[in-house]
Formats: sequence, structure tokens, C-alpha cells
Amino acid sequence: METVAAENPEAIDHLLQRCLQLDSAAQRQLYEHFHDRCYRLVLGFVSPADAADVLQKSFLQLFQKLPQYRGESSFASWFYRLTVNECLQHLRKHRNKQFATLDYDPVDHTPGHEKMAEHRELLSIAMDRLEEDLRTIFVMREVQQHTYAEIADLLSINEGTVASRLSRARHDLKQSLLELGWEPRS
Amino acid sequence: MNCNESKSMLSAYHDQELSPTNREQLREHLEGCADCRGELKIIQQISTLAEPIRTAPIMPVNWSLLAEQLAPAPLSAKPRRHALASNRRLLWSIAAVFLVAIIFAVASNWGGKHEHSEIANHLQAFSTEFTRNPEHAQQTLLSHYKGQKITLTEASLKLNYQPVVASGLPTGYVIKDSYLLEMPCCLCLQTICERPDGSQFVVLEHAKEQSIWPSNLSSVKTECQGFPTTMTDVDGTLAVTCEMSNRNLTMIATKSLDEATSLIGQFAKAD
Repeated sequence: METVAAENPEAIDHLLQRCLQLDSAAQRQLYEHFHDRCYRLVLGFVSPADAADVLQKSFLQLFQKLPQYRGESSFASWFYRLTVNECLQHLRKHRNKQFATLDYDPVDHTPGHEKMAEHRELLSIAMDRLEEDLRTIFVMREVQQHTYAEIADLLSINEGTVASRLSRARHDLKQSLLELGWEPRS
Repeated sequence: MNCNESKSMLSAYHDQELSPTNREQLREHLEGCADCRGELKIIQQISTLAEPIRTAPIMPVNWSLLAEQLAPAPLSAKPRRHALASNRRLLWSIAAVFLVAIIFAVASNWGGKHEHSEIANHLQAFSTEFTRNPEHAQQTLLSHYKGQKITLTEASLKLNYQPVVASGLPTGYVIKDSYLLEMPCCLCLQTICERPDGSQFVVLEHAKEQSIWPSNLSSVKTECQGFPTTMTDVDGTLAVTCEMSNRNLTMIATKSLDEATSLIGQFAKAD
């Protein structure tokens, strides 16, 4: 099976043309090429229990809407936006179930690893409270480790906007975490 | 640098996205400001909280599950009834499709290819009945050719090629419905398109080297966007057939030569 060089626009374009011709080998190659990074993107929005389903829907959307891709942005950018939209739709649909109520004493004395699990849960709740565009940028930076330039390209915004939104996201997360009883280490 | 300036840069500093000049200025400020150092530490700790997501195991690739969902659903054996709204102009346009198919067979040099008398009989019956009862005429048409309403994606999978209409229509035009007609010679995709003013026309698409239908109506042969094209006047509208590289198009109820040219130009991008 021919390989696709990482983000080689010409290779991606050739692969897309074959996908449009319903070449199932090409479809599979495209799926495998984007699978891992998109899975991690999805994990930044939904729980692992839901991530597989949301990822599947994202790829279904990709192949169904592929004829609409006009090349005005990079394909990765187009697919990222499609995936984020799928995640946000999932969150909106399950909004009432997403917010877990704290039923434990934030000031507790459990062993370190249990506290870490609690902190992760706090972060999950705090991220649910973020505005959608702030959450998207936070996930792309903190989970996917994209540079500001990459995020700017994927979201079609400038790097200054990336920086300011990320700063706001971290500020808002800090506020939410503190409200939820998080105690940062001094 | 004051604390306001410092705090506005902490996020980018943590991400190593500051310019060398700003990075150095901020570093100097942090050396002497415990408050800003504390804020930076919080950003770092939030980043640490995200690490489990960052390093979560990736679920294995499961192509077969996705492939199953991409496979087309089988067409229903039961013909649809009452498939179209009662739009006399639309149904007249559809009826004209078959008239033009007959026209094309005579006017173009598709003659010599084998004829389908059954199709011709159906077309004749359809065109006769249409003036009296267009809804029933369309029902009959769909029942003759097991006509099924279909999405363009499903059609792509069924036909094994991407329909030209999927490449898009001129600005303001929209696709209303698509039907797959199982004719003896081929699977034919019929797409009903709507203009901004609400009027409609039809695009029929089939793979190249399809059979022709007999016709005794006159038409004009020309070239449009570089493709051999035949045009026939049908009650004040144009029926246009166009031989593209990989498929044949028949457009019914186009308004004018300009519109036909625009459509062919759009569809040529997908050919």
C-alpha cells in the first residue's frame, strides 16, 4: 500500500481524489492516517467511553462530506473542524449528563494517586465549563501539543488570537478549579 | 515589565511561544516577582492535570467497523409511491427527458448502438399519459425502472463514480431530490435541481457508452465547454445532452443556452 507522507499536500490530495472515486483502499489509508491524532482530539472533549463512537461519526462525516471539500483550507484543518463540531454536538446533546456533582470532601486525606484521579475529574468538569472555542484551543495545545502556528492554521485564525484565547482558557480553568476545591501546590 | 504585562505573557511563556526579547524580559521579571511565579506555577500544574488525556492509550484502529457503515444500504424492492409532489412543470420536464433521449438517438451519432424497444414503449406511454395525469405518469416511470429516491452519497457507492451534480451547482441553485432508475441499459441517476426562483430542472447522468433511444424530433448539435452537445427545444425550454469524458448528461428544462453552458462548465470540473 502506498504511504502518505506526513502532511504532504500533494500526497493527501491524491489520496482524496482516490477516495472520491470510492477507492476503499484509499479510504482506509486516509482513516488510518488521521485516526490517532483525531482520537486524541476527541478525548479532549468526551470521555473515553464515548470517544470511539464520536470518532466513528467524525470519519463517517468525513467520507460523506468529502465531495464538499473545496481546498480553501488544508484538508487537516477541514477535518479538524469537522471533528470538533462532532465533539461539540455530542457535548451539547449530553450536556445535562456531563456535569458531575461533587460528593466528596475536597479537603481530604486520601493517598496521592486517588487525589490525582480526583484532580483529573475536576479538570474534566472545569473543561466542560469552558466556552467551546476556548476548550478547542486548550485541547489542541495541551492534549495534541500543537504549536500556536499549527493551531492558527487549523482553525484559520491568527497566532495572536491563539495566544489570547489560550491565556483566557487557562485563566477560566483556574477559576473553575479553585471553585471546585482544587488546591494548587505551592 | 509590570505584573499586568507579565501575567498576559505567562501562558505563551509556558508554551515557549514568546519572542526571545519578551522571553528574556519576562524571565527577569519572574526572578523578582513571587506573585507572577505563583501564577506560572498554576499554569504548569493545570498542564500536568491534562497529562492523562495527553498520554491516554489510543484505541486500536477499527477500519472494518467503519467500512461496514460506509457500505451502501440495499435498495428496497418495493417501488415508491407518491414520490413527487404534484408539480405539472416538473413532471412535464421529466417526461421530456425521455423525449429528448429519443431525440438524441436520432440526431447524434449514437445510432448503430442497440435500441431498447421496451424503453421506447415506456417513454411513449409516459409522454402520452403525462398530459392527462402527471403524478401517475411519474409513478409508472418509477415502477418501470424500480426508481428509488437516493442520496448522492448512496448513489456514488451504487454507481461506483461520483455524480457530477455532487461537485456542486452554480450559486443559488440547490439539489432537491435524486432518484436511481434501473434501466435495461444502465443505472441512471436522475437529479431534480431547483433555481433561486423555485423553478426546477432535471439532470440525468449515466456512464458513457450507453444505448440511445429512437427519436424523430429535430435537434441542434454543437459543442459546449469543449464537449459534444445536442440541444432540443421542448415547449420553450431546452433539453440538453452532453457527452463528457466519463459520462453522459441529459439536462431537462434548462432555461437558456447560458444556463446550460454554466451547468456544463460546473459539471466539467468533476468529469
